[in-house]
Amino acid sequence: MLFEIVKETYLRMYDALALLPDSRINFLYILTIFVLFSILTIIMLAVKKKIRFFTGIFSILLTAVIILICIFYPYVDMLYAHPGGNPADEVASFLSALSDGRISDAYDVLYGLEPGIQGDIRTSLTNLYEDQNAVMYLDYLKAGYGFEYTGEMKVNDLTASVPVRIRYSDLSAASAGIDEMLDVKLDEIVQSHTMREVYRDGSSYQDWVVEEAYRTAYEDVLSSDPVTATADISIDLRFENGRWNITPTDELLNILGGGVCANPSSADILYDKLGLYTNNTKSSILADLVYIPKLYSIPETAVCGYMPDDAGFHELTDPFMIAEATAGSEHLIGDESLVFDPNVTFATGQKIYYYADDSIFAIVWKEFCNDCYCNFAEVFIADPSQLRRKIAGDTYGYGVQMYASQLASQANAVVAMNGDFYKFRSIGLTVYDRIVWRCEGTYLDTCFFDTRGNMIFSYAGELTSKEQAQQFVDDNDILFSLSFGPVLIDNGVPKENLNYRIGETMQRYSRSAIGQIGEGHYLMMTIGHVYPYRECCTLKGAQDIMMLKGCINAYTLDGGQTAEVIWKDKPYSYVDWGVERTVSDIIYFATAVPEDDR
Amino acid sequence: MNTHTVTAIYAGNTQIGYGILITVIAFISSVMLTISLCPVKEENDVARFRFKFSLFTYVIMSAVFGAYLGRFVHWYSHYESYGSFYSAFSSFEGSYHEAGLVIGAFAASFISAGIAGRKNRSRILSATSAGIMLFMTLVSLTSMFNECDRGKAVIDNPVYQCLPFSYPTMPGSEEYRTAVFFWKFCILALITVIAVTNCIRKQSALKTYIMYFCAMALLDSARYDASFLRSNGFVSLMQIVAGVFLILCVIAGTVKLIKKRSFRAGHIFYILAFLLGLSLTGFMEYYVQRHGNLYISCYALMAVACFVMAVSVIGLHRLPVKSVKRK
Repeated sequence: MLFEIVKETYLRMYDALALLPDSRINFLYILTIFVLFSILTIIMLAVKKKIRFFTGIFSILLTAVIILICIFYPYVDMLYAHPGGNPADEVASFLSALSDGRISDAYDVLYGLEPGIQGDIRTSLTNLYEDQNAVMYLDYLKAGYGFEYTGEMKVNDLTASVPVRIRYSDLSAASAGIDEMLDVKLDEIVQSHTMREVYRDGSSYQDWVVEEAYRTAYEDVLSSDPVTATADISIDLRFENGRWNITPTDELLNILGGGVCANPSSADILYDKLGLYTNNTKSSILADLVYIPKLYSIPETAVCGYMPDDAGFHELTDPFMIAEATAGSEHLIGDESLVFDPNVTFATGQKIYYYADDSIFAIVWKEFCNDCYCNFAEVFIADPSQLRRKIAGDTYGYGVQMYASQLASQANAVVAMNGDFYKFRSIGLTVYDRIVWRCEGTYLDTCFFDTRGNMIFSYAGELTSKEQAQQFVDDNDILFSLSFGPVLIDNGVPKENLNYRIGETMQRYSRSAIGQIGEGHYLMMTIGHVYPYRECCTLKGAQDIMMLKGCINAYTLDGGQTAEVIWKDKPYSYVDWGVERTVSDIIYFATAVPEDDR
Repeated sequence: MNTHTVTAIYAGNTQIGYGILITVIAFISSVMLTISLCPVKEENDVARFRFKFSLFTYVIMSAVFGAYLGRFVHWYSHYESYGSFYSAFSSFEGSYHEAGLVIGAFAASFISAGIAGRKNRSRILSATSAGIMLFMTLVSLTSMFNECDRGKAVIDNPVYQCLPFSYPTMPGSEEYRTAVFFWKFCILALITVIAVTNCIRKQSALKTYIMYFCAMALLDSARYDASFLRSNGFVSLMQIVAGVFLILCVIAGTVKLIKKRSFRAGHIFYILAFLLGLSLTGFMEYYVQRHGNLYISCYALMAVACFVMAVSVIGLHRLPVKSVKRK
């Protein structure tokens, strides 16, 4: 076996020799000279009996082997590749699950899990949306799958490719059919009822008429044989972790989503997207008859938000034009008052930016407030899933630290700010992905964020055991936490914070804080050293400003050089010493409108 | 050092990553180098056996001590990456801290040198130091196959991306960063050559470790995945270990000179030079964290400071010591 490995390695390197660039060929020459020189030196020293000959030569040759491997990588991807298993079996398992309508099982095969782990789809979707329409869409989707092989499988080392033609239910065609059928159903209802029963104020339909017509339309269309589309694709597989795994390409995922749910990368995300699609299709179809707000949401398991629309970023050149800026975002702002006030003293020469789309309105500005140079970001969001936390590597405890602007870029953030820099210290209570990772709750206050986007606080010493903390997280539907503190404002009441363990509360220091003003309405603030305002403020000063701005809840985040507000993927606020420092996490707001829904 | 890397060999269901492969080959190579630098010259069978036995125990102990101590230090600074203390030691695949690897191997060499006897002690220590340096040089290349040991700055300019010290953040990634492991490989290779020369010339192994820790104090600052103490996120663990080691060397050197009554007023300059180097290193570390955009000049100055430290500490230990006449 060892001989076979060595032989195949040699042959692969020999074949890759032609692909090597000149720089690597030069390294090969250097390596050869080094080996020859070293062998000569060893011979000379061995003759003088200063070293042993054979072990010395062996050591040099092994060193040369390692350097050779590094020179040839990545032109030689693998040294020896003869995996076990048959990729055709995986493809057959996936396609048969799909054609039987077992979407959960198909996803299990796609991600290398045992079929049956995801559970019954129908039940979860019904519970999620309690909408018969969504359930019927799902059944329609499941009924349309079919496949046939269109060519021979090809295997190359650890990759394989199987050409297939997949038939799937075309949900957009179904929706178009519902749209056409709606007129027919409306007509039937109108003909079979009196004018007073059907019309309101003589011009618009009664709500029940619209609902009834829509219901009968979608029942008719979605209970008939599905309109299908076909796609000729190549199912790619890769051998990893001891088995052949199908590569979930965008093409394949789009097929799983019925051509309308873009890239549903898991069964949960597919169900989420299908529910949103159902609602938003209804909103579009009935747009002329009744207003139904479109729903947008970011799946909980997504590691980033959707890419913001570049056309949604604007500069507010005149603060008094704020009303124009917020036009179109009334459904987000509702009855709330803006914190942004055109009458304050803005920082001279500093720009004001805002972003607006159907799911988020965010504005950033710099003002002098209580003699402090403050950077503010005010955000209105449609769905709590748009307030998110990004940690480096998307893995808790990951050793790498990055600049906050890099993390914001990876997260597709509209606006972001530094988090609690959890990697910097070992105290505090940290929750991520609903799991309590660290429970050292003796010294620090903790800010939790639940699935409704509310800030919930626990104070130092309240949650001291992991079991207790996990119970709290489960009971309150907590998604993640921030662990710096202290709590500045709790339910509109400012808190005393004179003896807090971290954060230099009594010194004039750069500060950062996040606050909640109302449901889906947040304020982020940093206060920094900016000439001529070199003296920042104490923690009390930051608290006073958050109170002044109307926050009902507010929490301190890591200050100093860590404190920064990021607009899109660039630092917006002045960072101490003018340069970002690497951090482990950020908190950010993202748009929930998918790119293909604009 | 992280052995989680791209796969090199797939045979049936057996998967071997480049990290494990290189680590094993590097270990064998370093052991071979150590053995080659220890030619047996004993005429006595017992002495010959003792010498060979000491080498044998070194091979076993260095692997065990290095692995466990390296994993322990990594667990200490990244305990949240592991389920528990015991799970950290349940698999050999994963991350090891370089300081733990080196200290574990050094401890093994120290014990082996004791077994070999006074006559061969310095030879064993010198030979093992060269082997350890070769091992650390070669395992630094495992970072080519994962995302470890990169710099903090992203290299956007395509002109610089094709240079050897620029490397993708992860294999296959389009983002390029400074390849700190490349600099580590070059510097440690030089130290290995010096260590081999030291051994052949029967010079002290201490010089090798001094150079190693001075180099690591600089290199560890540049990487974006440095390990820190749980209570302090400013100075990396490797820098602390390096600083402590160098301070102990200075103290030991000074005490040796004083005991032998060879300490002169002029020798104080070595100590002052070391303190200057240490202070400058510390200041530049603080400065580069605050002014990351000035990293080139900061690290250049830090390199000078580390060089001054190395020279002053090595110089202190090489000062002539007069022999004390017995009455």
